[in-house]
Amino acid sequence: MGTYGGDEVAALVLSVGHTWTQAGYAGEDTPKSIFPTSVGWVDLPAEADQGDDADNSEDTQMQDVTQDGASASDSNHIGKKDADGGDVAPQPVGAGVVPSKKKITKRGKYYVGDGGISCWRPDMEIKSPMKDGLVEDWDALEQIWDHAFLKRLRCDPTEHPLIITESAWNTREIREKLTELAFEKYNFPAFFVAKDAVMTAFAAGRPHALVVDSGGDMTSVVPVYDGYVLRKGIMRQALGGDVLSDQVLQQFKANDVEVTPQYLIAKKSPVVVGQKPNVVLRDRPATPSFHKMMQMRVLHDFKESVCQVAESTYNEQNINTRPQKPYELPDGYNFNFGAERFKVPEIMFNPKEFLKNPTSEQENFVGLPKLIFNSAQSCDIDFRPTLFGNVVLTGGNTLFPGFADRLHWELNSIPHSYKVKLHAPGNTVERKCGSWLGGSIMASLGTFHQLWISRKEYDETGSSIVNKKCV
Amino acid sequence: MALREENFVVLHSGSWNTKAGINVVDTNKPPHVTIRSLVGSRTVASELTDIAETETAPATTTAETTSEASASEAANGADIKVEKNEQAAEGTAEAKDQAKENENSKPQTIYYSGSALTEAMQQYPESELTVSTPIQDGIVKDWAAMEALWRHVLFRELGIKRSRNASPVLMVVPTDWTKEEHERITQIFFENFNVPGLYLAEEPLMTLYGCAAVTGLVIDIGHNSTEITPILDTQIQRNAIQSIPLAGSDVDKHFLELLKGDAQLVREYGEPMDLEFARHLKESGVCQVLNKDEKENKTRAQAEYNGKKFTVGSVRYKAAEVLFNPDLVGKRVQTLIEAIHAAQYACKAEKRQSLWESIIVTGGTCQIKGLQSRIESELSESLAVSENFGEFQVRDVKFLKVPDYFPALKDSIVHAGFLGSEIVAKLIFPDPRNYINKVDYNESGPSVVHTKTF
Repeated sequence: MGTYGGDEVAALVLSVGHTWTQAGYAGEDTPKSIFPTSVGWVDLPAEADQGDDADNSEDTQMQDVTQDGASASDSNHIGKKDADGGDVAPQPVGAGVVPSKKKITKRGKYYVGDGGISCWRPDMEIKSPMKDGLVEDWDALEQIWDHAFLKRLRCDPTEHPLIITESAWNTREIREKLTELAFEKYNFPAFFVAKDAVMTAFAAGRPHALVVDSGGDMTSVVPVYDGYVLRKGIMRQALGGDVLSDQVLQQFKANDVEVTPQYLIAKKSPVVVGQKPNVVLRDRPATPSFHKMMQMRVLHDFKESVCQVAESTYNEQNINTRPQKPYELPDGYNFNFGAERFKVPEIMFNPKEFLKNPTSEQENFVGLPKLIFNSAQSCDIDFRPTLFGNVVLTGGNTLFPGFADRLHWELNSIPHSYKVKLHAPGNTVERKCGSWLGGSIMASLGTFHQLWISRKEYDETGSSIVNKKCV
Repeated sequence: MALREENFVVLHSGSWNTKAGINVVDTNKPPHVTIRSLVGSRTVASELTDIAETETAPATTTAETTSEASASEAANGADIKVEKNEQAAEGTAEAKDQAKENENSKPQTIYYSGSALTEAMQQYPESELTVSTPIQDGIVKDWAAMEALWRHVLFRELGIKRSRNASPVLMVVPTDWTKEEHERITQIFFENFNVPGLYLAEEPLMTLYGCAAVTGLVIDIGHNSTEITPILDTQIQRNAIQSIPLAGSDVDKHFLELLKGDAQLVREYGEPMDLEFARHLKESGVCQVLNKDEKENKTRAQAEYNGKKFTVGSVRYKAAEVLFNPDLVGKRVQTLIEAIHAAQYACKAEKRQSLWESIIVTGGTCQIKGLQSRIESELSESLAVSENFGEFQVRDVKFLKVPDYFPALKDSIVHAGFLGSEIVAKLIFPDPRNYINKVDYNESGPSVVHTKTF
C-alpha cells in the first residue's frame, strides 16, 4: 500500500470556514495565513463565443464548470496577478479549441484576501463559496486554494501533503470533489480530510468531547467519542455571528441610526452624544454585497468593543444598573450603550425572546444550552456523562466576555444529573482556529503517516477512496 | 573562538537598496554600505580555466568580475571554486552530465554589482550587459544574481576574507519570505560564504527596535510596495499585515506626469524627461506633502540634473498625493490610510490603542518632507472625533522616532531598521546558542533556520 512516509517535509493544513480561511504548516502553533473566505468578483462584459482571445492579457475567459467535477484549468496560469492585484481567473485547458456549442457564460476577475476585497471597486460583488458548512461555489473555492498555497504560503504543492478540515455533515460528493481538486489540479503527493469537530477536540487534548462551534454563519454541536463523530448527535442551526450583527443593524435602523462604513466617509465632525452625525460622504457607489460586508465590519467592531453577556438569566432591572459603554460609529455618531449591549449576545441563549423579526426559519431557533442538551440526549446514554464532562467551546462568536461562564451556568441549571465541565481556551487563536490547530497536531504525528491517501492510491482507486480512508 | 563586535555584519537587501554594515561597536551611524540592488550579468562564451569541478545548473556559474580584480582581491573575492548547486536539485543530474561533457566550452555568466556595475555599464553595451533587480515584488527571483550581489557586498565592499571569515551575519528579511527561501539563504551563507554564524531577523521588528519600542505599527513605504505591520510585544501579527502595491515607484510615475505638464520647467530643461529624472528630483528634496490646510509656497524651487539648472513649480506638492489617491496612477488598490485601518482592524480590539499610539513611518519614500504629518492628520480625521468614543477607540495618533541618544540617526527614521538590527546583532552574537553557528549547520543542515531563528 502506498503510504506517505516523508518525515521531514511539513504537511500543509488548510481550514476553509464560512468566514475565515486558515492555512499553514503542520507542527506550527498558529496558521501562517488567515484571510477572509469571502472573495470579490468583478463581472467583465461577456462576449459571444470566442475561442481564441486567450491572449487577451487583462481578462481571461472562465468557463462554467458545474457540469463535471474537475475544473480543467491550466496550472501554469494560477497565481498571476494583474496591475491592481486581482487574480486572473484560471485559463481552461484547451481554451483555443473550445467546441462552438459550449457557451462562455461568465468572464471576470476574482479578488481574494483582505487587501483584495477591502478595496472599494464600484462593481465588485462579494460572495462566499461556503454555505451551511458545505462547498457551494467551486470556482471561488479554487481561487481560495490558489491564494493560500501560491500567494500566501508560496510553497510547491507537489512537495507537501495536504490535510483539510470539513464539517461533520459534509457530503460524499463534496469530499470526492475536494480529493479530485487536490490531486488533479495541485498534484499534492498525499491528502487527507478530517472532521473539524474531531480536530477541535484533538487541539483541546481530548479524545471525547462535545464540540460547540459558534461561528459566523452557524452554530453546531457535534459529539465526538474516541475520535469519531456520533452522527446521531449532530445539532446545528444557522444562528451565528452574522445573525447577531444583523440584529444590531436592525436595532440601529429602528433608532434611525445609519451605519456608514469607512469607505464612504470623506470628512466628519464631532457631534454630541446621540446627535445625528455631521458627515460628508464620498461618491462611491458600491454593490449591495460589498456595502453589507463593510457594514458587517463596523458591527463586528461594535460587538467586540461593547457587547457583553449577562451572568445569569437576563433581568432588565439588573442590567440597567450596569455601567454603560460608549461607542462611536465611523461617521461620528456616538452613544452610550446600556441594556442593548447585553441583549445582543442574549440572542444565543434565548432567541425566542430576543431575536426580533425572525424569518420563518429563524423562528425555530433554540437557545444554545438547549441545543447542547439535545445533542447529548440524542447520543447513547452511556456516552452522556463523558460528553457533558468535556464540553469544548470554539468559534469566534463565543468570544463575548462572559459567554463561557454564562453557558456553564445555564448548562448546570437544566435539570439533569450530569457534571458539566466546560473547556473554553482563553487564547483567541485557539478559539478561532481550533480545527486548524488540531489538523496541525495530527498531521505532525508519526503515527498519522499511515493514514494519508497517497497519490498512488488515488490513481489506483479514484476519488472514492476518500470515503473509505477518511471516515 | 569568540566573535568580536568589530566583525559583526548586518545585511539588508530590499528591492531598491541593499544596505550593509560591519562593526557594531558604535551603533550610532548610518549603514557603511548602501548600494542599489542591481545586478548586471554578462554571458561570455569562453571558458574560465581555473574552474575545477562545478555542480551548477547548466550555463550559469557565478564568478567575480575579473576586469578590475587585483591579485589580493582575486584570492578572496574572486572565488571561482567549487560551487554548490543553489537551485533545487532539478538540474543537478543533467548539470553533472553536461559538466563532464563540455567542461571547457559552456558559456559562463559574470555578475557585476555596486561600483563594478557602474564601470561595467560604461564598458559594455546594453546588448551584452543585462541589468536587473534580483528581488522583484519583494521576492527573490534570481538567486544566482542575488548571491553575486551579497558576495560583492560582503567580500568586496566590506572587505571580509572568505577563507578566514570571522564575521557572523545578521540578515534582515521581509516578513513574507517562505521557509524554502530561509533555508536557501542559510545554505548560501554557510556553504558559499563560509560565515561563522547567521541570524535571520524580520524587517519591521528591527525597525521597531530601532525606535526603542516593542509594540507598534510599522509602515514601510518602499519602492514597489508599502508594508504595514502591526507588532504587539515583539510578536508580529502576521495575519494583520497589509501589503499594498503603492509606493515610491508610483510617486515617481505620477511626478513624471506632473513635471511634463509644468510648462516653465519643460522650457528650462529642454530635454526629454524620464523616470530617472523624476526620481532624482524627488530625492533632491523639492517634493513636499502638504496638509489639507497648508498653503503652497508660490516660489519655484531650484533644482539641478545632469549639469542643467532649472526650477520646479507647484507640481512638487502634488507628487506624493498618489499614496492617498491611487486613482491618480490608475491603480485600484486601497489607499495608504485605508490599508492602515485594515491592518488595525485585523488586530484584537483591546490592543488597537497601543498600536495607534506607536506608529512608525519608515522606508525610502518616507523621506519626502511633510509625509508623516500628512499621514497623521489624515489618520486623526478618520478616527474617533467626538468626546464620547469607545474604550478601544482613540482620537489621536502618535508617532515614534529614533531616540535622541543616537544623535547621528535621530532625525532619519529611514535608518531605524538598520539601527535596530545592529543592536540585535550586538546582543545575540556573543553567545553561540542565540544564532545558527557552524556546528548547528553541519549537524542539521539548512532546516535548522526554522527552529533557531524565529
